[in-house]
Amino acid sequence: MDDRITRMSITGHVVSLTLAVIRVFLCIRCLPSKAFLRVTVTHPRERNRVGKDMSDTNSHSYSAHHEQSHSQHADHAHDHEGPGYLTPQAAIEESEHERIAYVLGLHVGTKTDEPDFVAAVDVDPDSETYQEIVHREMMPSIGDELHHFGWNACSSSCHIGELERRYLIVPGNRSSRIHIVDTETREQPEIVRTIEPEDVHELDLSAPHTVHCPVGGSVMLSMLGDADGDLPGGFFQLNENLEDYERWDQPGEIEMNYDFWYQPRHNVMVSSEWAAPSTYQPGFDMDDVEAGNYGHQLHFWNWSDRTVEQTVDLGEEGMVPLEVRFLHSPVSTHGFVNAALSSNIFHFWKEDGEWMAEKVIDFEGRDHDDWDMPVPALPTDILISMDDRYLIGSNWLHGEIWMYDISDPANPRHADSISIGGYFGEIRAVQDRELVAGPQMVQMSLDGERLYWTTSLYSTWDNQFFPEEADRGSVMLKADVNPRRGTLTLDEDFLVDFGELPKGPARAHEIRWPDGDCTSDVWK
Amino acid sequence: MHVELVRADGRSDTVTANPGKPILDAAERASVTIPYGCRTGACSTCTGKLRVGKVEHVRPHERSKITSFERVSY
Repeated sequence: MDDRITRMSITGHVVSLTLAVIRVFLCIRCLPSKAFLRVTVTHPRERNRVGKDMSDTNSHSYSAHHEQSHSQHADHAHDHEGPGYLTPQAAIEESEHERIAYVLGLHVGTKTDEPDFVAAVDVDPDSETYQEIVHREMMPSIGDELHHFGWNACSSSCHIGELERRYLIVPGNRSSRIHIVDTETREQPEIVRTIEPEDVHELDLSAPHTVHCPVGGSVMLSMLGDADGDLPGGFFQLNENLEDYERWDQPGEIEMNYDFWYQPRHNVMVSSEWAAPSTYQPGFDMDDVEAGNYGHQLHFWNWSDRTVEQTVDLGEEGMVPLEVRFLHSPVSTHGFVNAALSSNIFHFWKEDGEWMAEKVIDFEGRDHDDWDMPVPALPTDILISMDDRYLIGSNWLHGEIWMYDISDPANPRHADSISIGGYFGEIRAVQDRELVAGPQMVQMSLDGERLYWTTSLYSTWDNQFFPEEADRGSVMLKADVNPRRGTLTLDEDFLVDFGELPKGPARAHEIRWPDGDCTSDVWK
Repeated sequence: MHVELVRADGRSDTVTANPGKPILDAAERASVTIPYGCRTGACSTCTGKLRVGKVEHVRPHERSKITSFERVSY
């Protein structure tokens, strides 16, 4: 028995009694050569589970709706007292060069037994501490796996004068803790409250992911699992006081969950699918793909009724649809989603009252000596520039940052790329700092002229595909963007090294600006 | 009951655990830091190799799992 390798969850195990062999321990370092062998999942479900016509927002009534929306918003200019910007274009015009970036730093899955943290990174070129992590606000407990985070208020509440974009909602995806961080002092964010996992579990929810700030001050979080980390997931709504909370959806309305975005004028929310926490948290296992344990659907919700009106199955080429991004324009019904495992980008839109989705970008796998199959690109993050002109994303395994012109959203046109890091990136180091992973989470300046990214995906997945990152830490890098010419240029003078920290190397994940950014602000 | 927790680098701590209670509780009582995340047995952060002895895996919420019928009237 001594030599028998078992996967043993100490948390839920009871000493003595009988040995339960849970599962053969995953030989994670073997995985890259075996992974992605057979993506042959079949999808017997209909493409559109519910073809219900949203007649109040269909294309025939679109113009009238648009007109009405305009009249409702005609007093914008003299009414604006709340957080954010009146329009996406106002955000471009009025924003200043970002000075502080909030970046989630993680010690989860490293040799450092320390909590994860919110890093304040100086990104002001005129500052003496430019490119330095000027503050790390440590979370109270180890093991959170901070992942995505968001604001208590954004541009969707631009009329609500008493609201302030001040509090970051910072969930631990692995722990189900939800932290409230006060950014009144921008360079020194301070944790003020934590909602404990037991309280989250009371709602039969776990594994918080995306944070959005809908109209009116409440905060919505997508939750990927039930209290046990199994399905179904759902949505957690934190009230404006950031103390009270409730479950937003009826349990079982969806099974899998991941990211979501909403367009208030169209009364629609779209959510995507990763997998149950008990599936993805231990690490990637190809058997789970073959068993149908990974998602491939988009759910279009009636925002006010909190019900799914239509589910679109993306099929075999749409495996693991992750980040859903509507165009920023509040009148648009166009958006994009990255099907990470299939390495495709889908365009979705509304036509004749029905939501449609179509593959518009297909990244081909590439041969690698250490793999017995082509290495998939794995596009793990996307964003849309604030002017709705470019779709930008990262191919984590291949090592590529790419930029597509989406002025015709049905026909994206490749504008530029940077080949960097990952398995195939041409640039292997920045300022002699070896890159041990590919580009992952991306964030863009509001004016669309600077793009930043980090390199960690998820601790257990990092350890499978880029195991060196646990010992070397992540990096934060930057490219200069010319939105007129459609070009990306690596800023070789910019490097924030999360491998050089007092407590030990850390992973770095999502990036946010204090005054709103391309992946959090929504307009009403 | 004593439980020895051995790390990959060879360091070890011995904690006193109560039968029927999680090993994590014993480690926390002794201020011994071990990797963990979800506390429900889902995320596998605390996965380790069983060197000797016996354990039982109990996921805390499963006993009170809501049935699909009950969900209808949630």
